[in-house]
This record gives sequence, C-alpha cells and structure tokens, in this order.
Amino acid sequence: MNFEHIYDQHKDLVYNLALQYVQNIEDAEEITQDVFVSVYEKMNEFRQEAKPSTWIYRITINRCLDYIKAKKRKKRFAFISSLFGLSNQLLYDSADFNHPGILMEEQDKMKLLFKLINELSHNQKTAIILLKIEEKSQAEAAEIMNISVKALESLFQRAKNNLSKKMKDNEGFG
Amino acid sequence: MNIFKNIQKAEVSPYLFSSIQQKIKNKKDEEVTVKWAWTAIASICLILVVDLAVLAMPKQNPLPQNDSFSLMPNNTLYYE
Repeated sequence: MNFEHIYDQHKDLVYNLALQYVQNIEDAEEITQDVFVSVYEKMNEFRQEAKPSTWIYRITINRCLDYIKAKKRKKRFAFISSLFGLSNQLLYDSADFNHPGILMEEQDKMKLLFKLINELSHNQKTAIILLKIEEKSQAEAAEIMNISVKALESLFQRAKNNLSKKMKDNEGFG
Repeated sequence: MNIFKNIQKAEVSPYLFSSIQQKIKNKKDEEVTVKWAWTAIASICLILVVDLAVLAMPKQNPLPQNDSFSLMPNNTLYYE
C-alpha cells in the first residue's frame, strides 16, 4: 500500500467525518493530520480482514472522540485555573461553529442541531453521523462501529428519539 | 431528519498533505532523539551498577604483613 495513494483515496472521508464531529475547520484539519500520521505508522500492521476505508473510519472516529475528550479536559482545567487566578487567559471557545459544508442561511439552525447532537452519548452521535450525515448503509455503519446490525438499529432508534425530544424542547425547532 | 441532507461535502486544503508529511518527519526525528536519550540513560545505569557491584564485592583479607614479607616474628637470628 502506498501512503500517498491511501491519502488521496480517503482524505475527503476523514476530513468530512471529523467535521461532523467537531464542526470546526481547524480542529477537523488537526484530526485529519493525526489520523493520517496514525495510518502511516500502522500501515504495515493492517491486515486485509476489513476494507481499508472501514479501518480508516474506525481510526477517525476514535481520534475524534479522543480529541473531544481532551478538549473538554483542557476547558475544565482552564476554567479551574481562571477561578484560582492562575491563568489570565480568556476562556475562548475555539470550537466555534465553523462548518464549511453548511450554507450561510442554514448556519444558525444547523449550529443548534449540532449542539443537540453533541449532547447525545458518543455511540448515539456516531450512529446519527454515519447513517444520516455520511449516508452509510446499516451494514457498513455496523461494521465500522463493530456491532451487530440489530444493535445499531436500536442504538439509532434511541438516538433519533432523544434528538427529536431535544428538538421539541428547544425553541429553535418549535 | 431530512435536515441532514443540507450538509454538503467540504474539500480538504491542498496544503494538508505537506503538513502531514512534516508531522511524520518530526515524529521520526523525535523518536531518534528519544532512542538516544534512552541509550544514554541505560549506559549510565550500567556503569553505576558495575561500580556498585565492584564496591559491594567482599574484600579479600590481605595477608598479615609479616607473612607476606616472610618476616621473623622474633629477634632471634639463628635457630638453635
């Protein structure tokens, strides 16, 4: 496998998936870089048991979730530091909504929708992203998430119900 | 749920690949530096262990001086 070829084949997949998780160009680019560094390092270990795209999807999802966790931790630490006067840094949120795949007139609505999606559990969020945004088939999404199709179905149903409830409770979707 | 259909695919920056290559190169350089650091630490530890082993070795009792030089224990020059 040639690394440059793998990059050309999967760069859009990784970048767009990362965008759906973090909704920010800078963060998505950083995640894309990390994913391909990881792909480069593990290229020789990859066994052809799964499709390369499935493998890269998994790496990307894990990287995105780690990135989000690390960011939350950093924010928490910055908040505590500011409380004790240890840091004069302003608590600015670099994860400002900046999604290039969304039209200007839809920005506000989509920002709110992604805010609600971000409140879901990681698995429910992944199910919605893979099935609804990335438009993967149930079989593909189940393979990527390493669960059975049935488990994915029920996970997606729960995610959909939770999201609908949150949307109803929210004035922006009233 | 149809709202998701409005999300379009975004294009990757053309400079991203060179950033990735740079990151891979930096990581490799870092690995080499770390390897050298560990080698240096291991060498210092080895030297310390050898030094301690030498110091801890039981000292052989030196022969009493008069034995080693075959000195006579008394002043008698001749045996009778």
